[in-house]
Amino acid sequence: MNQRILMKGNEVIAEAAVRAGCRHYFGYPITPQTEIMHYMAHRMIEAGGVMVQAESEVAAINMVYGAAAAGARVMTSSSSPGISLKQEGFSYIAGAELPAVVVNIVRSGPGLGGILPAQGDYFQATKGGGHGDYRNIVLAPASIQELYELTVDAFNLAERYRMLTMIFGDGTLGQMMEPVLFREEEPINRPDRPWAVTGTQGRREHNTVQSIYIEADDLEQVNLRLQAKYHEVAAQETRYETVGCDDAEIIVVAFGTCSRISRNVIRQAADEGIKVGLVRPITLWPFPEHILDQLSQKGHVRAFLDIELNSGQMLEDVRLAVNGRRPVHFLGRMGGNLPTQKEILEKIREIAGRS
Amino acid sequence: MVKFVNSSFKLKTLHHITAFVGAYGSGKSEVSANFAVWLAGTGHPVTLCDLDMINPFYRTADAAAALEARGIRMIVPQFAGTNVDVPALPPAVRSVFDQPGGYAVLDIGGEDLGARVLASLRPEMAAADTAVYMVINTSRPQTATVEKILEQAASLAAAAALELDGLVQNTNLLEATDPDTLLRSDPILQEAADILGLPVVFAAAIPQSAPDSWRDAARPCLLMERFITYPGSSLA
Repeated sequence: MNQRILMKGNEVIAEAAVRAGCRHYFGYPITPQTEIMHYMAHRMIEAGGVMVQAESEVAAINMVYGAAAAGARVMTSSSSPGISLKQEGFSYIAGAELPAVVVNIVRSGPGLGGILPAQGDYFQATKGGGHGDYRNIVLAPASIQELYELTVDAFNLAERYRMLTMIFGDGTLGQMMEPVLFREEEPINRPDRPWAVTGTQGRREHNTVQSIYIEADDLEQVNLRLQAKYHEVAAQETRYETVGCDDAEIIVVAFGTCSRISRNVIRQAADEGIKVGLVRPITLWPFPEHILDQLSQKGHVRAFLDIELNSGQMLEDVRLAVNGRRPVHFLGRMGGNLPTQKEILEKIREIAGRS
Repeated sequence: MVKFVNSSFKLKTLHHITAFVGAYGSGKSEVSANFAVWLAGTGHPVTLCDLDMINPFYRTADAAAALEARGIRMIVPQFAGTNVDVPALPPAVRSVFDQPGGYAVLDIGGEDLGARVLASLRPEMAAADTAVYMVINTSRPQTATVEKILEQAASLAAAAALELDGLVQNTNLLEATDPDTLLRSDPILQEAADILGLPVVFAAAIPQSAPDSWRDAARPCLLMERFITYPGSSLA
């Protein structure tokens, strides 16, 4: 029987990737995610894989592009400023429809910012970041166990849709420890990759992996095909968790670290007679707009409260989904600060008119 | 309340300076903080030094205010807990080596990378009355087996350029710790201790998870409070 072990978020991501069959990791160190690379340095030797400390983030993402083009399960990881540097590569990966997994253990910004946790890269992760009309699948774990499971899923999703799939964590999740239970065997689903550049051995036409189209009509067709794929992903892969929404008067919307803190506050609010529910987006893109749309039409729901470690980025998606049917309040902290349970409870009391 | 049960960990066996080393996540910071709180409770002046040059956050510096309220003098790196990553030793650490009558606890960063801090203090450590204890959590993959503990112990001692003086049993799964996990761990730790020729100087646990047999054993058991918590943990 497997036993639970105690692991740090960053270590679990690296271990999960290796278990999911990733044998190529390219990165460049940056706090608070360097443990991923540190773990890969010895684990890839054990697993017979490759870990390269590239000369820069730009080099690392282009190594990812190359390995993905050759059909490999490949990953890179970084934190906010490093992820900014990789954006050009993300767009090229989207344009060439390559599967790749990218981890962003978000720190506070803008600019050099700081090493403490934040969620200020939500816009960048979900709305593009690089140039052109493209989407990445963005997964937002909230525990060490979920970091493990979603990292494994990320590889499967990336290959199923030939898309970049991002694990969107923050410094808290990367640095904290919790028990984790690993499966005996991972659910690895690897589709055939007839598009991969693996050498023709003289037996087939050569493949090309690129994103340039000479004729406008050709490029438009590629874009239309990408959009159709993104619609399919939105229909098939949207994930969220709800807690106590069936009779809630106030719905908190929070992901990752903020959802952990909010969960404790729900119990405290219940003790004061305020019914609070939680919608926790697990996919930030595709965003779970449908559940918010539904809840905003329920008679018992009076208001929404969006909580983030930024100035209100997911807030825009929540407001679009609620579509003006209910007020959407906001509580955010920045600079590496986290909202306290007390702060959240006070905001809930204020919304409920009990302050 | 932080206390030793079995009370066999006597002040006379206590050294002027106690340094805790170990693998990442072995619980050095929590053990250091609790050991310092226990020492302060005996009425002696105590200084706790956060000498972790590896971890950006979740460290003893996080609990500085709570520990100072218990009468502990804290020495923390200037930028610990801030938005910058400056792994520089606090100069005040030198002061603990010339304080007769007081005790000091050194919380050292993880693995060989963290233990190198001790090598830089080697002349002072060699001249003082010191103990270097390796904190072990067998629920961590780096120290899950006898073989891995021996490997880790060798790399810590080499990086610190000091001999280890004992082991501390601190196996845990944080809030999910159950007595069975701790009992399963004991034979692994003892076998490693026997091979290393080192004593298990004490065990440490939060009271809810300490098995009854630990409370009655000849080995001292430090019943701890949580000083370092995570957002959303039930103890936060």
